Amino acid sequence: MCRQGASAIQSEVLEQIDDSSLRAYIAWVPILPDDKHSEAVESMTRIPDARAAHFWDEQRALPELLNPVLSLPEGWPAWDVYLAYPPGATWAQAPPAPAFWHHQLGDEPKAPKLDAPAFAEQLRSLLADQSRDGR
Amino acid sequence: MSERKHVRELTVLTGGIAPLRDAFDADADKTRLLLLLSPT
Repeated sequence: MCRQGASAIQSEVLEQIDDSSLRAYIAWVPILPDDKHSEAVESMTRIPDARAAHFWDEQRALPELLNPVLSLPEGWPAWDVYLAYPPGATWAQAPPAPAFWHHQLGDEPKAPKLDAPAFAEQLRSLLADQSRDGR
Repeated sequence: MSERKHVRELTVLTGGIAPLRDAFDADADKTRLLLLLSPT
């Protein structure tokens, strides 16, 4: 699911939005039994966009940090999630809440299941707001 | 037309999430995506 989501983000979001001010951070996390660093190296090729930076979260810190931010049930690690942040959002002490997000989890999360074209449209609006604000 | 040739690196977060957090905050003037994905 995640690899398909990654490919969808590349082809239906990043390749469709040619805005040099957009950045993407992809954190590959060992969630499933076969998840290894070598698999992350291979999966990186699904998002080759120059605006993307890839990370290997071998300690699985990020899913736990994002759980309360996304209001997921206790014990649910946040993974297979696609978050968008406006200019001005900073991490500093704790991860900020996204402007919007999609996922490929179960039915619990109060956010849409990943719909890459819809995600791209929401992202275009966010970028348009950025332009209007003169950032 | 400039090509987006890009050497891909996989930054390993061994001692904490600081490299990702710092990159995120360094780009605070930009619209950003954060994806948490399983590699398989």
